[in-house]
Amino acid sequence: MGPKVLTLEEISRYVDGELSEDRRREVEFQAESFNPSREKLNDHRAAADQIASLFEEIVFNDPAYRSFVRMVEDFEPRSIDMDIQAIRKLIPDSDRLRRILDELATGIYGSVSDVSMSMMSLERAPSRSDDIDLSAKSERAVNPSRIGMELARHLDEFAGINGQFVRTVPACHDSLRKLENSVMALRKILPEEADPEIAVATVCIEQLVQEGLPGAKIMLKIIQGESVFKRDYQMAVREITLFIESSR
Amino acid sequence: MDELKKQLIAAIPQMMVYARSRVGHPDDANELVQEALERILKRLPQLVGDDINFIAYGKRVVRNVHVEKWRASRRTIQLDDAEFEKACIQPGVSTSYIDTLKVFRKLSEQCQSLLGLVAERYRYVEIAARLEMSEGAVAGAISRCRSAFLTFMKGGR
Repeated sequence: MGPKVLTLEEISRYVDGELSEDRRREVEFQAESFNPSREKLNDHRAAADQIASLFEEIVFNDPAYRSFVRMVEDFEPRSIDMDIQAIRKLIPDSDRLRRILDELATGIYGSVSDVSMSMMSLERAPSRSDDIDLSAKSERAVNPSRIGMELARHLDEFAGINGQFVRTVPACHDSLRKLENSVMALRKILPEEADPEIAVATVCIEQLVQEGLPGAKIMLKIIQGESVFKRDYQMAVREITLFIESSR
Repeated sequence: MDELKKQLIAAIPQMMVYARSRVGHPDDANELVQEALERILKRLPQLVGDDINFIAYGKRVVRNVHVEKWRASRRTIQLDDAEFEKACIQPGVSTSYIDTLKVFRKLSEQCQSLLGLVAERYRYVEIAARLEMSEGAVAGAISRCRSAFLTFMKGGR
């Protein structure tokens, strides 16, 4: 085989030890036989070493690195953090959760809990499964009657799939029944009395989303006052297809 | 929780180099990382069960802390090359280290992460899993990022 110009990817793989022994020998042969390839390979190797030195300097020579590692290793969550974590899993809407915590804090202490507020307002981690920035949501005017009508329409449209889902996941039966009752109540309730009912419906919907009820995310958007788009229904149809396939 | 702690510890070198590439001075950089870690740890219990990219998350919090603290104290956030070099010069910090850091900070954050992970001896397949890329894409991106590093090193743009 005659000399050829090495590609950048071949060089990178060689420098980073990502080639088999045969391929390494071949790259070395090519580099020996062709000056431009050899220069490129040397340049890339030098660059890799320089960048590695940035990290080695920190890991081996900066005492702060050790103290940061210890700081993380020694970290023990407080029990209240664990409780907050459990509550957040049930009610991920930070606006609603904040309102509920405030209600609770008012009942116990007679004032708004600043501690609970600060716990809910830190930077959100970039979760691959959940990229909705809940903290960006502003206060919305709640119209329980409209929410009730929209949810009722959704439950009606998805009645067939809901029934099949309950047969497959019987544990969801109670959540769906409770949600239906809550939806009925929302259609008649006064706006100023709607918050507890909306909280109940939200928790039910959250549980159904977690259980994987197809289309439940649409209900979540409705109750959070967000717009439902065509793509949400397309997604729901996909969920239904997958659900039907999985329950065959 | 232990798994999250392990992942966070693995992201610390990246956070530290990133902080240094933003502010230059090692002590200032470590102050940013300290504050960032405190914020992340406070939130850690809420992240159990989530799939977190701690490198991206850690860098984002470092960036937020930097912008908040520096703005509050009316310090310049974007340093030019001369200011950055001045901030870097400390006893025990070599000129070659400063030159490398000066070039490294010009790379995109993705390039910094890729070249950083490979510098920490992670295999391409591990990097691919962490950054949700294919192994082939990682290989291509690393070669392009390293070429960009060399171009900057030689004074190109």
